[in-house]
Amino acid sequence: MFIDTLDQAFDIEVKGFKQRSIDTPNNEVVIKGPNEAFVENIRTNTSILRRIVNNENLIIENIEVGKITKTKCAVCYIQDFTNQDLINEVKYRLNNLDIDSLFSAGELEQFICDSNIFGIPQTMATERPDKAAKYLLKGRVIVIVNGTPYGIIMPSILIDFLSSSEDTNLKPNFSNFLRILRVISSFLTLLLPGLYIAVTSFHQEILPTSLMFSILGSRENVPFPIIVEILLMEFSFELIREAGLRVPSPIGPTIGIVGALVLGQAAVSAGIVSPILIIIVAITGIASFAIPDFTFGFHLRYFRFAFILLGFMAGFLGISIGLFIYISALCSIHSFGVPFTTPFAPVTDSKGNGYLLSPIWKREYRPPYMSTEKPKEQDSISMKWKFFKPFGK
Amino acid sequence: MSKSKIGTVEAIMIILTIIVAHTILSLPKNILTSMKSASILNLIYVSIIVVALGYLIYRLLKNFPGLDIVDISELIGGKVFKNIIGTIFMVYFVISASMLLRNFSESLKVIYYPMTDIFFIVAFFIIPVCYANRLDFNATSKTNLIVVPVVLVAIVVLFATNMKQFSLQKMFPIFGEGVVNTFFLGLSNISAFGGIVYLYFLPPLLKEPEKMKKITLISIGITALYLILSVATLLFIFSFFITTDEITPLYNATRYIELGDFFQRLESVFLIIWILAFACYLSTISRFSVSVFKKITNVDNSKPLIDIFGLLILGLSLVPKNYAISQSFENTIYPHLVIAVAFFLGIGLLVIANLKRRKESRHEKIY
Repeated sequence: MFIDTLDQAFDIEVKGFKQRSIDTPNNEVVIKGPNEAFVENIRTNTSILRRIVNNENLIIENIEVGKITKTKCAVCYIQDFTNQDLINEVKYRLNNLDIDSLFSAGELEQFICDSNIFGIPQTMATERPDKAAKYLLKGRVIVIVNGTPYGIIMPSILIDFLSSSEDTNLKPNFSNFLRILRVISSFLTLLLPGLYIAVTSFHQEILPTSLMFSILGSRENVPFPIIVEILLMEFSFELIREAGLRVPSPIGPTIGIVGALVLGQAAVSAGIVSPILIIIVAITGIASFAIPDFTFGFHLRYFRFAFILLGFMAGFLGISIGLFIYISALCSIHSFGVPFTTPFAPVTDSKGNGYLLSPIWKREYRPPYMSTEKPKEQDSISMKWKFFKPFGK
Repeated sequence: MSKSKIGTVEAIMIILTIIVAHTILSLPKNILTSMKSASILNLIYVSIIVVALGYLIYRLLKNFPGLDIVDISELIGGKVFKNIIGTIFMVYFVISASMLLRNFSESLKVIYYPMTDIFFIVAFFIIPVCYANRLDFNATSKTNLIVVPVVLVAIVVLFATNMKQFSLQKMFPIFGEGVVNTFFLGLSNISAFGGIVYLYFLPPLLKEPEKMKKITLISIGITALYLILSVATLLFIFSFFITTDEITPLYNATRYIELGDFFQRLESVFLIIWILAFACYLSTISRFSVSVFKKITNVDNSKPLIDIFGLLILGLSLVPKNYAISQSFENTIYPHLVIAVAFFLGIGLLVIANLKRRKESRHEKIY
């Protein structure tokens, strides 16, 4: 290194480490958005974020977590408008972790979340830098952990877990259709098996007569009670899903096909399970894949077993009581001070930041529940080309 | 109660939980039994009176910002009087909850669980309510906020989908059994607006206490609309002889819903919604019982009380030997209890407190 006006030069050794290059996201695939993902190296991740945000007010503060590993965590926020209390709270939680080591963003999420009620996630992890940047500009704080290709977004509320980064890339008609589909898929993941068992055991009058005969006929030769049948199939599905993750990639998809189709068909032919139950389990599984956030989807998959048991025990009474407890739990959670069920409960004016998206030119405000210092993010007439023609034209 | 405050819409939904719970059971049947074809007219008339009473309660409470009825009773007669009034309200909440719980559980037993002991059905409600009450008060108010609008929509759907079964002639004669019966004896139907008792406990809980008037009027208005829709549905579908014999007449009305050939017999879907609403009602009322007890005994930690009150409600609900006894309590004694506590006692205390304050301020002016 040569410095002007000095008659000496410096010989500096710059060591580098081998690292994975920037790749496409594996778990958050979009059609129209960018195809960059975070990597394990924190400097690369912060540089991607800086390149996307491209503003001097993006502050990245480094905090070391873990007495032995001293894992670097980068706290990222836009100084201009992010709520200072939120920033202070995030830094406070990170600075007050008395642990030896931190290896992943997943571990950090568990250490800093407000409560662990029912395993409901209160922070979101993303491998997409564009998604992280979008949330930064909405007043959230992102924490990047060295060694993990994920950024943690905080706070995160219920509607965030059902939103995808693709939504803002599409016209609101299409993205709202997809969002409604995701809500339906969440209900199906959580409740479909429980409702099936409740209807067939207690509330058969709901089914049209022909459908009821069809279901009863298909169950005629099944030797197991319906609860055993449904638990058997649900566990089998979870086993196949878990096995698919562990199997080497060349034969991974094959295992999925073999497990799902062949075993299911064989089970029906052997009279162990009824065909209608295969359909129920398949729809539940497919619905669970439609949920964008992995942790939230896992939580719903986990809790469907509780609803299966409640539906078996008490039919719709059990399902309703389970729903009551579940809704109460959701309503009791706060994510860094923001109620989890905002903007539905408590009722707040989301100013275009509700679950259903308004047209992009109407998204003038940042979410009011973030209490940002600059609530407005675009002018009321943002498409000036459309409404303000130059003089003479 | 928790130190966290609730918003206007949440406060309205808390008041609506009582009417929702009561309407599922025998309230519409009682109104139809007494008023016959004049039920709707009577409800409109009673609603106007309750709106006036609600406004009176708001005006009387306005002079005691941030205080609930138990605190106001302390201003009237000291700590002993406060304890007496607090105990009355607490007993009222517990008895209402246990009685309605028993009746609702019995109706579920008759419809879906004839072989199940009533204890298990009642316990199935109490256990999750005890769990929910361990969470913050905001969790309960937000749960009400999510569930109650669904119930309100359900009654509109019930009304709309049953319209082809309606026989509007059942509304006539419009004065039913006479003007005296409709407008004087029918005044007892103000017991349908039992949710008004929550108004006395809302002021310290509100984020925006200046919106108390809006909360009062909107909640009474929605209660009236809900009642009118429920009663109208039954009035126009059934004849009085059938209606008066039904356990849960509104449930029977849902059995007539037909949407084409595929969607028929959707009563179980409504049951999910009503069970949710009933659980919300139980959670709210037991929370208020615990908070009143905490206030009169100055207990620091109220969490252990939740289970005790849960057990108390469970035990009291199992006291009646059979459904007939608990139903007769709901039909005969409960309406008078509501009128005595929610209207006479509550408004009486507020009037006395206001008069006392006026007298004290006059003395201060003189001296």
